[in-house]
Amino acid sequence: MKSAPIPSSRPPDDVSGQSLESDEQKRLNKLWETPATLYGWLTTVDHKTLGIRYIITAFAFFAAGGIEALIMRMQLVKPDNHLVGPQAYNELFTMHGVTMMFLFIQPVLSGLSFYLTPLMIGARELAFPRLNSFSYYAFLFAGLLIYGSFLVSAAPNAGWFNYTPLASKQFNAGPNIDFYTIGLLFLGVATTAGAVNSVVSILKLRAPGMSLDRMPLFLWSSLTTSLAILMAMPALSASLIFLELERNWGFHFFDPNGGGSALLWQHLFWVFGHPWVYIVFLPATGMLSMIIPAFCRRPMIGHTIVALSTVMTGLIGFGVWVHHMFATGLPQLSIGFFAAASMTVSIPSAMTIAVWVVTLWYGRVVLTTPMLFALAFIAQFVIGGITGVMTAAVPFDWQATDTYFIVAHLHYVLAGGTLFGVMAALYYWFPKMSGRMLDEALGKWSFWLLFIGFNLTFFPMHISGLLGMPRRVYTYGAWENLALPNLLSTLGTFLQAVAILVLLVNILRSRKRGAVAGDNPWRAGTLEWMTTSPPPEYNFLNAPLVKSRYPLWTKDVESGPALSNDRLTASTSVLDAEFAGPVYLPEGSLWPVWVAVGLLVTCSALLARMNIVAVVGAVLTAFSVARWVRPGSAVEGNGDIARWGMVLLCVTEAALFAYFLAGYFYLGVVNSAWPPPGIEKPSLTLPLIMTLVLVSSSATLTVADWAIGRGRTMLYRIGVVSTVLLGSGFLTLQAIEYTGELKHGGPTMHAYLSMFYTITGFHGVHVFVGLLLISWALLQELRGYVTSERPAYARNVSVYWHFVDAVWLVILTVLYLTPRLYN
Amino acid sequence: MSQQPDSMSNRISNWRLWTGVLLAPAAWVLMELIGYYIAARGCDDGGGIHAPGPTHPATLTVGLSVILTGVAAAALVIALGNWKHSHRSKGQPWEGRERFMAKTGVIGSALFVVATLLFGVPALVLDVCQHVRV
Repeated sequence: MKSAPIPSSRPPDDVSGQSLESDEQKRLNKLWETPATLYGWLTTVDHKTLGIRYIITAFAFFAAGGIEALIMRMQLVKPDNHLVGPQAYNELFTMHGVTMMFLFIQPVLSGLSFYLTPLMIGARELAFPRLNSFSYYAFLFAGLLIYGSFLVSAAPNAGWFNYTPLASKQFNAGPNIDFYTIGLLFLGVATTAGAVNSVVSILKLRAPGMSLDRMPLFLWSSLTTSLAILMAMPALSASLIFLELERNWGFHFFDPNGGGSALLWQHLFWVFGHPWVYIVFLPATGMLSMIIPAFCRRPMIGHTIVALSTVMTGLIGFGVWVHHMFATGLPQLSIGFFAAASMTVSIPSAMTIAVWVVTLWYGRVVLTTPMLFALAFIAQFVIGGITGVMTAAVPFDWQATDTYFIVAHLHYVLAGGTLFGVMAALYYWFPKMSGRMLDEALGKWSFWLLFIGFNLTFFPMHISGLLGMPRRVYTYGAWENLALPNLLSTLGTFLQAVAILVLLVNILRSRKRGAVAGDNPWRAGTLEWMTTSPPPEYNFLNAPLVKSRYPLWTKDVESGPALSNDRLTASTSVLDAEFAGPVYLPEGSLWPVWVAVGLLVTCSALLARMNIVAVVGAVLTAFSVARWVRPGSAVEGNGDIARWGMVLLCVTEAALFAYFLAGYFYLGVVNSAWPPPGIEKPSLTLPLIMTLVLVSSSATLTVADWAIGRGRTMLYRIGVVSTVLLGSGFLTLQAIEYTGELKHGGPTMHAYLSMFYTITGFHGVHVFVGLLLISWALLQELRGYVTSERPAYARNVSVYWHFVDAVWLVILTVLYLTPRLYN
Repeated sequence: MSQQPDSMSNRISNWRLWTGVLLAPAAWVLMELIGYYIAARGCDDGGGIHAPGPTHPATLTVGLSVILTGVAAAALVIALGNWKHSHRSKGQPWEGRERFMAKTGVIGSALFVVATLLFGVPALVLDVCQHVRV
C-alpha cells in the first residue's frame, strides 16, 4: 500500500473540542445525551443511533431477501427441478424484489445518509429529529407488515412491479397483493418523511460558509435522491391507491371492461420505478465520490461535473419510464421519444465515470478494502450501463425484454453498483461509527469472494437471457441448454453468501477488538472526520466555518457560533450558507413512535377488513401527531425550518394529485368518449359555489395570518373560525354534490366515475385534515403557545390550507371545465 | 470570530444564474410532456392514417422540437454569458458559488439542447403512428 502524502488533518481543538474537557462540553453532553433507559432507547432522536438502526434493520431484510435468492437459485440449479413449486417461486421472486428494492437498498442508503449528513454539513442533528425517529419505526413496521404475509401464507406474488391484470382481484383473489399495496403505502410515508428531513437539513443546516459549490458530493446525491423521492413516490402511492380501490371497493382503473386500462398501472408504476432505480443508485455514486478522493489523496477533478451529472441523472430519470414498456404496443413516436431519453440519461453517468477515472489517473491510489469495492463498482457499473444502453435500442429490447439478460443488467447496476457502493461505504465509515477499524485481511477476503461470486452469478445470466430463458419462470427444460449457466449462477450465489458472512464476522470481531481508528484514519478531507470516532452526541462543539471543499486538507476550518446554551444548531441560507441564526432541535419523544404504531394498527386492520379498528388506528395517529407537534414543546424558534418542511410536504402532495390527474387524462385518451356515453358531465353550478366558498376561506385565513403577526388576537380568532366554517361548508356542499347531483352512478359504474370520486374524495380528505390543523392551531393560540412573537405554527398550517385550495382550482379546471371544451 | 468565512460578491443576478441553470431542462421537460401527449392523442384513432399536414403528429413534434431546442439554445447562450462574467470574479482558491452555477448552466444546457433536438428525430424517420406489437 502506498504511503499517503496528505498531511495529518487533525482539526484545531477549539473547533472539534473533543480533546478538551470544558464546562461547555459537559453542558452539551448533558443537553444531548440519550438516557440509558428503555424509554431513552425507544425515543432517541440521535441521528447516529437511528442511522445505525436503519442500517442494521436494512441488513436484516437483506438477509431475508438473500435467503429467498438462495432458494430460487437452488430451484434453478438443474433443469426440471421441483424443490419449490410455481406458486412458491412466484412469492419468492416477488418478495426478493420487494425486499431488495424497498426494504434493503433504499433504507440502507437512507441510514448512511441520516448518519452522515449532519456530520458532513457540520450540524448537530437533522432538521427534524423526531421525524427521523418516526421514519425509522414506520420503515420497520412496514417491513414487518409485508413480511407478515408469510405468516398467513399469502406473500405478494405478482413481481415487484405487480402488473395488472395479474395483480387484479380476478386473477389474484387472496390477500397477497393487499399486503403489497398497503405495506408499500405505509412504507411510502416513512420514505417521504425521510426525504423531507434530508432536503431541509441539507438546504438549511449546512455549516456557515458551505455554499453550494463547497458541498460534498455525497450531499448532492442525497439532495437529488430526496427530491426525486418527493416527486416519484406519489406515483407509486397513486397506483397503489387505484389498485386497492379496484380490488376491494369495486372501482375501475385497470379493468378494460369498466373503461380502465391495464397499461395505466405500468405507466404510473414506471414513472415511479425508473426514478427509483436512480434513487437507489445515485447515493452510492455519491459515496464513491467521497471515497475516491480520500484514497487518491487528491481533490476530485471535475467536482462541478459530478454534482451536475448527479442532478441531471435524477431529472432525466423521470423521462425514461416508457423504456420498460417498449413491448406493449405503443405508437412508434412514443417509443422513439423514450429511446432518445434513455440514450440521453447515459451521458451524465458517463461523465461521472470519466471524472472518477481521471481522478484515479492523477491520484496516488491506496488500495484499501473500501477502494477495492469502489473500483469494482466502477467496472461493474460500466458493464451494467452498457447493457442499459443496449436495451435502450428498441429492436434489441424487443428481443431481450423479460429474459435473464434484463436480470443480469439490473443486477449489474443495482448489486454490482449500489451493493458494492454500500460495502465500500461500510468499510470506509465503520471506523467513524464504531471507533474501530475493520480488519483489512478479512475485508479483502470479503471483497474477492463477493466480486467473484457476483460476477459468477450474474454474468452467465446474460448468456441465459440471450439463449431465451424467460424471467420469473420456476424451471426450464433439459433440452434448452441452460443448465451450465444456471449452475454457475447458483454457485456464485453461494459465494456471495459466504462473502456476506465474512463481513458479518469482521464487524462482530472488529467492533470490540479492531484497531483503534482515531478521528481521521483515512486522512480524508471532509467535515465528518473532524469529530472523534465515534462522534459525541452533539457532534461539534462549535459550528465549523467552512472555506473550501476539503476543509481538513486545506486546514482553514475555523470556529463558528458556539450555540451551547440549549439543543441548538446553526441554520444558514440556502445558496451561500450565510449564518441565519440558531435552530432548536427537540429531544426524544414517544409520540413519533405512537404515530408509527397508529399507522401500523390502521394498515393491519385494513388488511384484516376490520374497518372500526382501522378508524381507531387513524384516531391514534392523529392524536399522536397533534401531541408530537405541539408548539412550545418542539417547534419554538424553528418557523423557517418548519415552513420548508410544510412546503415540501405540499410539493409531494401536489405530485400525488398530478398523478391522479394524469391517470384521468390517460383514461380519457384510451376511451373514445370521456365522459362515456350514458354518463353526464358534472354540473357546474354547485362546484362554482364550492369554489367561491373555498377561495373565501383562503382570504379569511390570510387575514388571520396578518392579525396574529400584529398581536390582534380577536381578529385572528374571527379569521380562523370563519375559515373553519367556510371549509366545513365546502365539505357539506361536496356531500350534497355526491348524494344529490350525481345521480347517474357511483364510482363503481365506470372508470370515469372512479376517477372523479377518487380525485374529489381525496381532495375532500385533504380539506378535512386542513380543518383539523387550523382548529388545532387556534386551540394552541387560546392556550398561549401561538402569539405575535411566535406566529410560525399558525402560518405554516395556513400554507397547507392555501395549497389545498389551489389544488381545488386545478381539479375544478380538469374535472368540471375541460369536459366542456372537447365534448 | 467571524461568522461568515468570506464574502461572496455576486456580480450576476440570481435570476440570470437560475435561468442559465433551469431553462434548458425546463424546455426538455416540456418537450417530453407535450410530445408524449401529441403522440398519444394524435395517434389514438387507428394509427398511420393521418394525411401529411400541419396537424399531423410528426409535423407537430418536429415543430415543437425546433422551438424548444431554440429555447434550450437561448439558455445555453445565457449560461455562457454567466460563465464569461463569473470568470472575472475569480480570485478565490475555490471557484465560488456564482461560477459553479454558471458552469453547471453551460454543461447542463449543452446536454439539454442535444436531448431536446433528439426528440424530434424519430418523427423524421419513423412511421410515427404505427403501433408496434411484439
